Amino acid sequence: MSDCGCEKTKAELEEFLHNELVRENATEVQEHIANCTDCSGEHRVGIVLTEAVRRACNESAPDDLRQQVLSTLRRERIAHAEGVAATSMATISGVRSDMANSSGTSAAATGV
Amino acid sequence: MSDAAAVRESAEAAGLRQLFEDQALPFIDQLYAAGLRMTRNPSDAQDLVQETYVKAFAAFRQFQQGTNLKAWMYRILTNTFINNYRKKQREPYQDPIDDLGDWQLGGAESTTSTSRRSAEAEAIDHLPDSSVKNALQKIPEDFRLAVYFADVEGFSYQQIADIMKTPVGTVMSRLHRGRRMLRETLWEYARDRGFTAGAAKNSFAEAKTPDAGSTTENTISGSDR
Repeated sequence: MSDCGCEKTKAELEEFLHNELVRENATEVQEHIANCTDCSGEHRVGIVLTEAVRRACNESAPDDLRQQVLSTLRRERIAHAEGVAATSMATISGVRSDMANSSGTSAAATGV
Repeated sequence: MSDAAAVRESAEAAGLRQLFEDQALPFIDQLYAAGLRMTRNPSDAQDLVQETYVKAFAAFRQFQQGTNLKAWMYRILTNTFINNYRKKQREPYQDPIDDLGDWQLGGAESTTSTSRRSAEAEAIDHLPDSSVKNALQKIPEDFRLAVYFADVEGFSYQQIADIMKTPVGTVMSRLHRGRRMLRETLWEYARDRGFTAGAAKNSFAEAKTPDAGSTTENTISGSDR
């Protein structure tokens, strides 16, 4: 691992995997991997790991949740139209009382 | 407000709601999955997502059309989680960057042998989703989220930095350490479950049954609960 490029390549593999390298660097890594079993093996583990995480996290929201969100949003609209400052929001479980005022919420949410 | 103005306003609000529903609702599965990684339980994840949508809708007028709505939604999700849920959780928040010693990080890539690498790749590929989720739960929250954002959502390092409100360098470090810990944990799981590579091309194969390849999956998933 002197100047065969392995050290540099291994240091950059993760960025390579995540598409974060500028093109010249990416090409260098690509070329090195093509000719180095050690680094291509390491890269393979990286790919498999990403795929495993992606697979495991491929989950669907329960239908209930979708319906709840939809009905909440619809109540929101009515509240706005009636000029009632989103009182319906206070009834949502887990929603903090400081969200009852919709303009206040806007400011809070965009200040993230 | 005059009737005409009220009608105009409600029509405008209805249009906005429709736009929000059309644009933001398709992210609900992803946001829920992310919520599960954050809260680590389905009921909190549902509350978190619900709250995220309410906040996002309330702020939707400020969303700049044409910019990345998914990243915007994730910012609100993450922020809501940090403000409302992290506090509640039993384990106190700790900055993992400071608190983690290298002993928790496992073997360095550079010292990993080629044969172990191919066994690792095969093992990780065969582990059931439940094992991977378990392993994710075990790594510190900030690492876990960085891994989730990069590997599941495909956000760029800069986008993750914006979502997590940290410098890009911190994102890279969390990602690197998180992935390393994940890899170590998965490798441990695989070994605990008697994983042997399908072909007898590594040192683990000899101690196991001849047709380890076909039994691997059962062996691993069977003891995962």
